[in-house]
Amino acid sequence: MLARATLTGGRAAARPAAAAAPRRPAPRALTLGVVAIAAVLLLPVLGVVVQAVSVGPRRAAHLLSLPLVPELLRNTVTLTAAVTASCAAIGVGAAWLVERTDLPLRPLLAVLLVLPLAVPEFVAGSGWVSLMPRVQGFGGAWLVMTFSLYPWVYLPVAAALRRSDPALDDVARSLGAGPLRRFLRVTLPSVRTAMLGGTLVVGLYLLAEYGTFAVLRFRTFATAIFTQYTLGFDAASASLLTLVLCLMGVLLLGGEYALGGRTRHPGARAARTATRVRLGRATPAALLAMAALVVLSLGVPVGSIAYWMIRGSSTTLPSGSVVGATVESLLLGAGAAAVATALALPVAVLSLRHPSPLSNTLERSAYLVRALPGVAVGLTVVSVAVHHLRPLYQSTALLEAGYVVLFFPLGLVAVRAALARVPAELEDTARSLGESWFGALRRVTVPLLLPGLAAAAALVSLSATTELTATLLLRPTGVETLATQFWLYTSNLAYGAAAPYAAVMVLTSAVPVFLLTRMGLARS
Amino acid sequence: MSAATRALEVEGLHASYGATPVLHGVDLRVRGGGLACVLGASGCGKTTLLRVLAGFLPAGRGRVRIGATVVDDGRRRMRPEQRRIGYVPQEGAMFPHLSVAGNVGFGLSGRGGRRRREREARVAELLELVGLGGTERCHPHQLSGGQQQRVALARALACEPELVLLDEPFSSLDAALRARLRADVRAILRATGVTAVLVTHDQTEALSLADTVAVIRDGRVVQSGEPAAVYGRPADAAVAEFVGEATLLPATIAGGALHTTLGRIVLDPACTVDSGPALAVVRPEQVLVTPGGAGTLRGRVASSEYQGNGARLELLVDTERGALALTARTRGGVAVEPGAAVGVEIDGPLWAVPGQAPTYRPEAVNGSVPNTSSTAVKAECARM
Repeated sequence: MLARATLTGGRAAARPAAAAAPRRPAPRALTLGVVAIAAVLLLPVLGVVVQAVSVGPRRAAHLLSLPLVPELLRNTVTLTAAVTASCAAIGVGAAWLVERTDLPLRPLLAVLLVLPLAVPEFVAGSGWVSLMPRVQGFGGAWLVMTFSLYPWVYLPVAAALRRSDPALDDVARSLGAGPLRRFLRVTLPSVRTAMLGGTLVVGLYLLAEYGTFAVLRFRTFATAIFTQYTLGFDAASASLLTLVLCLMGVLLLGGEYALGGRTRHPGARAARTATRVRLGRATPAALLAMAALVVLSLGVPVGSIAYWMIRGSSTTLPSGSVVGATVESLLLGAGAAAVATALALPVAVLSLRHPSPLSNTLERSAYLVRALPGVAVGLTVVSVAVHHLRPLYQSTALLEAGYVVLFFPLGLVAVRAALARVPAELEDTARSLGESWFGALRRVTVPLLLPGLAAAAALVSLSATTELTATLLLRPTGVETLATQFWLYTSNLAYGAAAPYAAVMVLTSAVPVFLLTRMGLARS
Repeated sequence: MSAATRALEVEGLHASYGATPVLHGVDLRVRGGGLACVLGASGCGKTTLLRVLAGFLPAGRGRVRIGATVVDDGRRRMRPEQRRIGYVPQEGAMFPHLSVAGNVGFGLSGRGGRRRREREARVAELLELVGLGGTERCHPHQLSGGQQQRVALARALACEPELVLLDEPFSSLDAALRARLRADVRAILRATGVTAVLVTHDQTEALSLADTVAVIRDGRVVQSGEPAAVYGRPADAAVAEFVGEATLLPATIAGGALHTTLGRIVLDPACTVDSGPALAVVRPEQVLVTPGGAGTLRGRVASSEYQGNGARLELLVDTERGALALTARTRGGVAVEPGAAVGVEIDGPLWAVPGQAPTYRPEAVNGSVPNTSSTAVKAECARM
């Protein structure tokens, strides 16, 4: 009761005055543009459905009753449940320690705890396996994925803790609530939305992951689909499994929505700073736990890269190819980032500035693409190209299109977060001063949004640069990115040759990851 | 441009805030060059009215005319950028990425390609007008809240608008600054001769600034007129209590006088209620208090609130039906302690409003009207 009452009080007080004010209907050009964007983005979804339906009911029933399917289902579901739960626990715990206690080395930890995001999961997986071949199966998958993905929970929860009003905690304390009660009834509810958003990202990653599970010899839907497709003997079965996988993604999205992942929370950052909890004699234990977390999530993968770099220096390094692959990856990433960010802007403007049932539906359908794993996007884009856009097959443009579809939601989240911080009143004022809708956008909104757009582009390019699954499926023959080269060498257990590619991926990714920590996304 | 062409006329305006109907037939007339204050409690629809006038929200029904142009008739509407309106939002809403000169000149550069020199001269002139000459190169974050409001006004006036809309422009400022800026804004608007509509919930602000005060409640204008008329001749009990402080005294009107528990008091001859039960409006300044007990009525001081230049007294006046609560105001010097016996005189004639509810409402004593109507609450929720 107490927590709820004070929370709603805080919510009302911090409500931004004019942010949600209803407005004139959206300009027709904007609505039409967003409809077109949503239609293009939803093409792969349509493709998955069409392909699966074309299998026919009898064959579908037969394929889905194969003993393989229950095993894949069991693996995927149990792993997703286990990893999201452990990520939530680690993410919230670490965020609370860093943001709300007097733990030493907090500024350093705030960076170290996010850096694992710069290590692609399949690189982390290969790192563990290369040092400890026994890390595999369910346990190995749980270990690698938990320590690679927990920052997706940590980041938004830490941001929510920074933003939430510390007075809530003070009030609870003045009303006699002890530390545990305050954590459970004040702190936890205030970060619930952020935590749910973070676990959703983790869940979607797990559904989509191919590389790590292939290395760890753990079979999920994504690995089965990929194998069936690349071995080429059963396209029908692959498309059917893809549909099941996509449905699981939609289920996750719906679950997060039903649990209140979209509840509004105070937008404004509280001006007061929290009184930190004194850890006292618990300090060494807390520090030790954080150190273990950093070692497991960052130390092992980075250490393994360093180890193989040194060990592998005896072998001849294909250094020219490292530079070529780096340039190729960065160019591809930058192209995808530019297009995805440019497409995200109108969608964000429509949904934030002209809320209506139509604009909400359009925005949500854009998020639906998030449920599509790289495997599914790759496969459908390939099949659309083969059947309808033959000249595009095996072209860089097709690969870029795949990236854009795959990472559009990420760009949208970042652009939306930035746009929400630009008061709509500024645009109103510009219009009253004689600017058209577009003029106000150009002269006021976009200049103020530039840092946000840059961050969005950085996020997309990070993800595209290290994307493995879709790249393997979509790249034209001869195009080698950092991820595909790394994959090629590790598949042949040539860890020494693979290490430089991993090192470059981690270093280039560290920059956008650093940006991400600065942005403090409310939800990812 | 003659004053008549710049008049604002709003007729039967209906509008919704999201899905919630907020305005239910607003009528408002402001003469060219006049300053109207739209006064209402939060959630009454005054901000919605302003947004419809500016063109940020469509009117559902009704008509808005600025000068000779109908800008919205519920079907066809002019875009905000074509309406020639100056808009001063709450807290100024400076463009944070532009200098003061960039802010003030924002509308100028968009229109007809004025020469740069000419634009700079105009910006300087406007900044001079609002008392901020020489601040062209400053950035908004370097200005205080009051200065930002001045720049926002200069920016709104830059394109020589037909109408200026001000949305609670002084609400974020401290009391002393507010009074000064209020006077300055009034002078500036007068000097430029522009028609203006200011929205506020502060009755002192409305009474001191406006040529016309329009009291809005539940999406309707319940009374509009000169400040003195709205204060002195309120249309109903709620207006009487909202605009200034008042004690509402149950009374019966007969023969040009009010018969109350305080005796017979002369009725304002202009009063439209001329017989039967009514409520007499007793303003604090109409209750004359004499310490010591001389006067036609006797009572004692229940509580006293010292205000520097005088005191606000809650009195309990003896009547044949027990003690009656009245609010009075004394001017400096006379110290009255709680519990002291005082003589009380009512300085008629009094105004009366329809109604006969003698129910005691604790809120009414403070002069504030609790606004719990469902539309207001719903509008609040819709904004969440």
